[in-house]
Amino acid sequence: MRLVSLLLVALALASIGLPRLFAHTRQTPPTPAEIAWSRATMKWDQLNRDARNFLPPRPPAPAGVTDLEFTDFYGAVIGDRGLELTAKVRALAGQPVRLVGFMVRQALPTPGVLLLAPQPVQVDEVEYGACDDLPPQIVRVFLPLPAGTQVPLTPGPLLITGTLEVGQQSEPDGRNSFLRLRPSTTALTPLSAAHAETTPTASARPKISSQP
Amino acid sequence: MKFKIHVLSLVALSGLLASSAFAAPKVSRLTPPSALFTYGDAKPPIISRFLPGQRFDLQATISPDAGALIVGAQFIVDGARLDGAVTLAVADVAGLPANTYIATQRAYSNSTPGIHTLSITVTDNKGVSTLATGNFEIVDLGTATGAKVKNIIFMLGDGMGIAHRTAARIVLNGVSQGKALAPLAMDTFPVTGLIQTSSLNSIITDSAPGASCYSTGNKNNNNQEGVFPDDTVDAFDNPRTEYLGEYLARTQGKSLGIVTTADVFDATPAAWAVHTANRGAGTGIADQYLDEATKSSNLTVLLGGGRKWFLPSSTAGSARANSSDYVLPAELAKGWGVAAGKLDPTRDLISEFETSGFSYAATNTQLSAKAASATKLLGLFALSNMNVALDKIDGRRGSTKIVSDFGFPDQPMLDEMTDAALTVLAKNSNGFVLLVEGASIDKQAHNMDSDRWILETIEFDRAIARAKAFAAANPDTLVIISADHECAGVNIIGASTVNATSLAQRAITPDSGVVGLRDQVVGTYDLAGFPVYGIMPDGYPATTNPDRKLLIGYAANSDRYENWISNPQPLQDSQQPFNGTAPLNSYPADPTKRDVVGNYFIAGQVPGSSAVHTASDIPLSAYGRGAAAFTGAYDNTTVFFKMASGVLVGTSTTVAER
Repeated sequence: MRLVSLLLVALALASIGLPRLFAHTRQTPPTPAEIAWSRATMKWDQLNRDARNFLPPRPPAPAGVTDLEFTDFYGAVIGDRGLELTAKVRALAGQPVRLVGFMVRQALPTPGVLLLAPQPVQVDEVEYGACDDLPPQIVRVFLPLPAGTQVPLTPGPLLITGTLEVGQQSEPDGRNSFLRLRPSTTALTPLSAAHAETTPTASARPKISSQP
Repeated sequence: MKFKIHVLSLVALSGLLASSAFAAPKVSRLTPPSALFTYGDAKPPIISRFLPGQRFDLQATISPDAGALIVGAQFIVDGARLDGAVTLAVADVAGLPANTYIATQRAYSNSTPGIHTLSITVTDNKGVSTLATGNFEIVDLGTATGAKVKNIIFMLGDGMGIAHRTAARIVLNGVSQGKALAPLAMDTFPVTGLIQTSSLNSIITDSAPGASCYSTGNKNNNNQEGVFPDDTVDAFDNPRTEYLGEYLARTQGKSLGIVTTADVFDATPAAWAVHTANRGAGTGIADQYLDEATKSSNLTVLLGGGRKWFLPSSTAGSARANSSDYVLPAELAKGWGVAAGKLDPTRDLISEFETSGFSYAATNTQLSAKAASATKLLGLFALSNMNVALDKIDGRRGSTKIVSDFGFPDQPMLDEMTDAALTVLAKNSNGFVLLVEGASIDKQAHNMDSDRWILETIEFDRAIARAKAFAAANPDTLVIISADHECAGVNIIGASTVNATSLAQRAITPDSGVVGLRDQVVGTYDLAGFPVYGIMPDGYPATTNPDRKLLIGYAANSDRYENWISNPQPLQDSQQPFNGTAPLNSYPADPTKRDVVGNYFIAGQVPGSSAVHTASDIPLSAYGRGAAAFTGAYDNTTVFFKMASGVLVGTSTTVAER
């Protein structure tokens, strides 16, 4: 009786045009990319919040490249209003600089772009939008990849050298950027080979023995 | 059990006739939503309910027959045509017929209790008309029975289900020989309810409708707050429902306070003052706090994170952008008597708040210094979400640097924010409505970061104690503790059978796996025993990694690796009793190896990046004047009417504290 009734509901609504009650609701299942992203996530950031304590030393900087720390950008404590760029960073605008940071794991990354943070964090734009836990010192890194190419998700401390851009810019993802880095190469360099990526793979998971 | 066959057959028949012979205009949506319009079902539950005199918009989506144009629309309540302007706007979501319009009448209200029919007649340029009918209810609050509630303090633990409370109690107070050694503050509230949480479009709510059910008395769609769904792309033109804060500011001169540990634009806080179909529109939401809420709701206190929306876009750290800003349609602004807004990313919102009489606090030090003298108070303690309790407390103890890394080492705890808010709001002799949100209980449960959400719940409970103390001193105050939904399917599965050192060793031993981190560690039943956490004078656990620690499972989990250890790892934590001893001094230097090194993988039952909300009922606790009304099991929207009844009609019932 209930099934018949439900069927009639569906038929009747279809015939008169279903009220668009769900106009704002996502009706599609997660994409394979989203599922892959979720599988790669797994407490990556929470477990590594103190990763900065374990950073190995950088190799010597090439001539003409200035080494920067995230604390160089705005000073240690943010004031009562916004952030204020230090004189040091302003003076380095347009110059080659080198930075060690972590690629922010985004649910909705922008092709060719990674957000570099002083510690591993993730931001799930699908779930929270801009209500995030990103540290304020984010640097936007533009890799010279072919148009539309996503930056491969790369855990671990990255050593990135590029030209520093300073100043407000509205980005296509709705964010504002204030510090940008433009490397000349597309490869992401782990801080050292000893600290290379060890993203878990399916084969690393516990194996389930099959029944005889 | 509902039998809809007769009605639906008629509906189907009339649909057939309309499309073949008469080609009348069609009404595809009638707002407020009703089962009468959608299913031809007039029986309860009535979907949309309002207070006598509470304002809400009437709206319909109307499509003409092909080649025709809509020329007129008239709303009718209980058979009587309504006066007032009906405006027509173009419906611009994809998939609707050409020339589909939205007919809207703004800020309608009705003072007669009972169920009312709402109809609309639509006429096209060929003289053909159609009639569609739905219904809504004006809730009968009854006759005055006694003393009225003057102040409402609504404590909303985002995502806080029963197990979150239990875990916080075990960690904070301990259990011995079967009995909790002390109650949480929320356990001492005398009245308990059980709340059903579904939203207008899903059994699983998100935080936007999960909050606006309490502040409007109505179901909203997920992502939407203070509005009903519509057929336009614009997120700020949706049909509105007057908020509790707006209603009580307009009719009784009460003030509104909003306190959260999240970004203040987040769904839960915004759903008490800002009307939008897009909970993510941060610039517009922050603007509306000033443009509208300070006037319509008498918004007097706004405390939390989210400074990025208040800084001019030229200032580093600002997130203000046209893409998340708002402009209201002229007819909406006129109908509700509110500012239309504009796209203004360079706006200096903090300065404008100050110009409007707000004192501004950027740190906990400033908050405690300014609360006593402030008549209005804005506090923005982080660019986005504030840091969580575990990290704030670690910062105060000097043991970790998370808050310093974020640049905000002096953030208040939620109890301190609650005290400041109450200090300011109590200055209004007409009373107030205060929302206090423990926001990151939910966010950390999404992350399946057990220790962090347990500490969030403890922080929230300390704020509850402050609210209770205020109500004890001001007995015309009602305090409600609730949640918007449960998050992550949290439950307490037992306790570790090994000590902290052993657990840490297992976490860093390659391929400990199921045997080393589950079979040899997870103690269920008798093996769980009674975990003991030492509590420091600051009110929080000395360590979140004690021997035989509490273990949490997640029924709504995404894929994860679990090693049970608090994060970050305790290596650099001077609070740890085993600091500096092997094996901790041999922690691998590569942080990317550590999170998965134990290799105990738990396959998720849900896709996506994090654990999800669940549909389980959530507990509500009530204290103070009018609390007795909140016993029972009922829908989340009913909470709104119980609160309003206490304020508007009053109560003579008192319930002893237990």
